[in-house]
Amino acid sequence: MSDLGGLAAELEQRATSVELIGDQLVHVAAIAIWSSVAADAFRAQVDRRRSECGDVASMLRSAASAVRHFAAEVEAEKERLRRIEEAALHGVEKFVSLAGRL
Amino acid sequence: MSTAGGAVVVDYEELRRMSRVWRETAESLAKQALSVASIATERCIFTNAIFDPAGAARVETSILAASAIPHGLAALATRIAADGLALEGVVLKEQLVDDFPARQLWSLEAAMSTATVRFAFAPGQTLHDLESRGAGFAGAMVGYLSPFTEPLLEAFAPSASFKVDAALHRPVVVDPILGAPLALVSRVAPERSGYVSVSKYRPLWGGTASGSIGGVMHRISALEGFPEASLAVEAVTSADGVVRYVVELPGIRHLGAAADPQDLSGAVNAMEARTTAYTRCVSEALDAAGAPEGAQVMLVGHSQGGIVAMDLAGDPAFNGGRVRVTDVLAAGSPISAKHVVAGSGTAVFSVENVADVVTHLDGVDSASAPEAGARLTYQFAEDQQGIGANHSATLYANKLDALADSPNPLVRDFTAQVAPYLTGRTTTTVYTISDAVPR
Repeated sequence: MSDLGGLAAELEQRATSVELIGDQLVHVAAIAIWSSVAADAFRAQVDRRRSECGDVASMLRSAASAVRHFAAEVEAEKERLRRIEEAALHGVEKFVSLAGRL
Repeated sequence: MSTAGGAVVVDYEELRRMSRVWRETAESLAKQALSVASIATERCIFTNAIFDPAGAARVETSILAASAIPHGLAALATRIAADGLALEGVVLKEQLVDDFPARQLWSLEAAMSTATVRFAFAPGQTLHDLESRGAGFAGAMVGYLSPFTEPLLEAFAPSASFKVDAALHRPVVVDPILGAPLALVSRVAPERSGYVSVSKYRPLWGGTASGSIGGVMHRISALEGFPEASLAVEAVTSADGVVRYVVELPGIRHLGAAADPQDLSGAVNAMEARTTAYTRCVSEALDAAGAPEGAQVMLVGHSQGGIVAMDLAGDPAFNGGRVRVTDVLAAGSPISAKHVVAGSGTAVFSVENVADVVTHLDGVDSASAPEAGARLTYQFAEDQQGIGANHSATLYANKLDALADSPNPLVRDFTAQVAPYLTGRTTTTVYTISDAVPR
């Protein structure tokens, strides 16, 4: 992976996958033939884990967003530098042409 | 472990499967944590950092936070792994404590502590008492150790050839002590032609549909109580007008040799060979019941009956030839190494009590085979502290009753698929079976 956009997409894909894992754990715990106070406590714990999966997914999405923001800033900075370069070149050309006339 | 009224139901095997899922999930998350952390070292971040150093630092920080401890993927993987380990530990501890045959041990210990005194007054009775209590404890220990049969055989079987088969999860073909081929049994006690005749015994449930997979297993339990070796064929006309056939196959009834196929040599031969007197009896019974060529058939068997069901489902002359076996329901049968005819589409649902030593006799642990829609092995652990009790058809029928409302999607699929066999206008015929035509 070489571009920043690709990195952001990868992080978003990981976020979705972590959310699915949380859902899968809840599903497995729900279909198990297991009824007791301990089972209820375990299922409550699994719900907490799903919520933690959601938190991690949010962190991955905010990392993806930071990458996108960084990519935009880099592009803007490159654009600004390009404009400065163009202006400098333009100034040099003008100076050379003025010097030639003199 | 379970209690009446359904307040506490614990299926240890199910919990073990859950802890496996937890462990695999934790491993997958740990791998993801490493992959995500490696994103932070991507070259494009460093090469672009010169344009926005603060932004690059923010990217690094956020990626590392999402992948590492204390709140990222690695931390989540650790917590889920800990949950899985805790679950596994609780299950192991509960099962070891719950199932240990303490009552039988105390009973034997009590008898032994007073044996010297009692022996002086009633030697015969004392010896008999010790013998029966010792047998009770031994039987309970077999149930207690049954879940560990495969590793125990692998470690302690005297036959090297047997040990190699067990280690490689290959079906058992030699005996565990001398390493003699099981095929020798068919030479010593060759299978005969098989013979069926309509039984004079009429079950109370005859002429009614069984209604559920538990119901059909209860019928097999009833057949096992008949005075003669029997099997039953039920012709069921369901709502779509199609006549389908349910064949009910009871298990072994003689632990020695007998004149009917439900004996020890019949059971060993059924594990070894595909065609036996019992399988021929099934074909004859279907002929006698008027099942047409290609009729849809569901085979239901307990113990040896389940092995015979799989032998028939794996025989192309029967499954796809004489009839079409759409479903097999086996309970307490060592069939992990048996397969249906390739491409037949026959669905197999095998129910195994891990405390039932009979389910381990093929030396192949079902848990190592993946579950799939076409072949579902449902394992549970219910130690009744006796070899017979752990293997009884009634115990399996009760378990199947409990599974009727299972939210497990694979069980639900199987139950839905066999529904046409279990409801509708029904004709029941019970056949007495024997090894050959009676003289």
